[in-house]
Amino acid sequence: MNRIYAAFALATTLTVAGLLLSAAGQNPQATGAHAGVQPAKMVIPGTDAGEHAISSAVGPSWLKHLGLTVSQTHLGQMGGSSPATAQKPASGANDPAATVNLQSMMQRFLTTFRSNPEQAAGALHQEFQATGSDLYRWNCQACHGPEGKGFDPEINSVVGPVQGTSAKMARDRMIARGIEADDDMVNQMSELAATSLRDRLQHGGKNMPSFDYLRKDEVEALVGYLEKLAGVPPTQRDGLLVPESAARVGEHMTRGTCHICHDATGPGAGMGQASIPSLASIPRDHSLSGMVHQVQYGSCSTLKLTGGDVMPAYPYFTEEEIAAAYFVAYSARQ
Amino acid sequence: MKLGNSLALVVVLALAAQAAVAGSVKGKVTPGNSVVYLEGASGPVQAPADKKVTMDQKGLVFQPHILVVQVGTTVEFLNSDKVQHNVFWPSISGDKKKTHNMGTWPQGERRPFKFTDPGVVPLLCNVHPEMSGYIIVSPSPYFAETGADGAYTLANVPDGDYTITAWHEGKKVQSKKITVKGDTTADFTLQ
Repeated sequence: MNRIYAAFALATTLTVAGLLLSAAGQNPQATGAHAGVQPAKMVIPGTDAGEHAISSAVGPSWLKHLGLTVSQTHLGQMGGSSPATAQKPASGANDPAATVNLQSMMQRFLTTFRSNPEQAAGALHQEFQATGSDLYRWNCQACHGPEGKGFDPEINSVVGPVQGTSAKMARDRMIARGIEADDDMVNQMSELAATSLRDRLQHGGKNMPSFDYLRKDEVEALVGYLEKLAGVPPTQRDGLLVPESAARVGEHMTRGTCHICHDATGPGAGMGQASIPSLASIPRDHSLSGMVHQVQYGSCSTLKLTGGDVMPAYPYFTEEEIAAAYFVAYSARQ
Repeated sequence: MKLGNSLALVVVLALAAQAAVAGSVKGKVTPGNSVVYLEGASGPVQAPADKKVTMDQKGLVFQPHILVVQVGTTVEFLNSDKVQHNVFWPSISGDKKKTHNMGTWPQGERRPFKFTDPGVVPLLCNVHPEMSGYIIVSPSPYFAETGADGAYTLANVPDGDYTITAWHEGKKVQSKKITVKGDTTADFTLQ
């Protein structure tokens, strides 16, 4: 990957933006804050945009929506500058044994985008298998933690609500307590819990954003992983594989994690200001390698001294996942 | 009749009338933190006091863990937590037909339920399956919750024949016939 970063250093970010933008036939323009209603579709020539079109994050960050600063949440207390030594996932989208995986596709994209934009676009949309645990890391882990336990009292644990969806667990618990229960009733209660869990993902809540961009099969794979986290006996969702592409991974990352704190569009971070750069400004102001480092290591510690919002570290993302987010972030232009 | 004799007769009659009302049942239930109630009171049973009784969900637990009420009482179920809670019971005293789901609701909301069936109501929350609580619905006004020592007193019980029941979480319920006459004792060892 270092070789690729070196090659990258030669090209400025603007060139990248310029190439992809001209390929898409649009003008490079950093617009001011503009919260569009329809998410912008990143249209790349050479692919069937209808099937593969992804949508980018739109509008102000979720924290802005809640009226909170990063420091007021657990994210601001996690601190930056932590070494990226967390266990990198080696299965699912990052499975080294798979011939087509996120790593190979991002590598192909990065080596061909200047010489062959069409081939690069194809690499961004090439499908590979991902797991529920991938979806959890991209969309949920930042708030709910690696085990789904959340950060009490700010973020609820998902364990209880997911356990409620298991009729078997409910039945076992009642038997252990000497409580008589009708099978139909137990099934009905667990089905209600299952519906309400999916409802929550779809619509969010007072403090939780909505994840309505998840496909039905992604939701089932994700729930399969939540069941694992909650210690629920395995269901048919256990280990479910779903098709993802590098572009789609970028969408999960930006909409599921980055957009919690970063507005979609707007100014970049100012010197000496306590501000969080917009997603659209990041590829304009930062190199890929710079951004990868920032995401994996968090903000530099002196930022805290100047009163800036400190970005936490995300050592559980791979470089390729962060790179995928980088290329989708730039598309959040309107 | 001489005056002295009729006076004595009146006094004896008055004493006899008092004794018919002032019965009680005392005893010990092993292990403690149990509930004891009487059933089979003859004559009209006074209705429960028109007092609001609340079963709360706070700090991800049912509060109180055990609530004892007389049949006919309305319990208000309250959610004091920031999370949504659900309340349901799968049966009442093992009768699965008496199952009921109160629903799921957010902080601050209260939902009432009038308990018209006596028995043991095990409360569960399907959002937090580790939560559990109990409402014991007594068929009569004569009920008590014991302390950790298991001691209880049921006062002002009219003399007569009753069935007395003892309940403890996780143990088998025990019932036995007793005749209350003045101060009566009934002990239980629950398995």
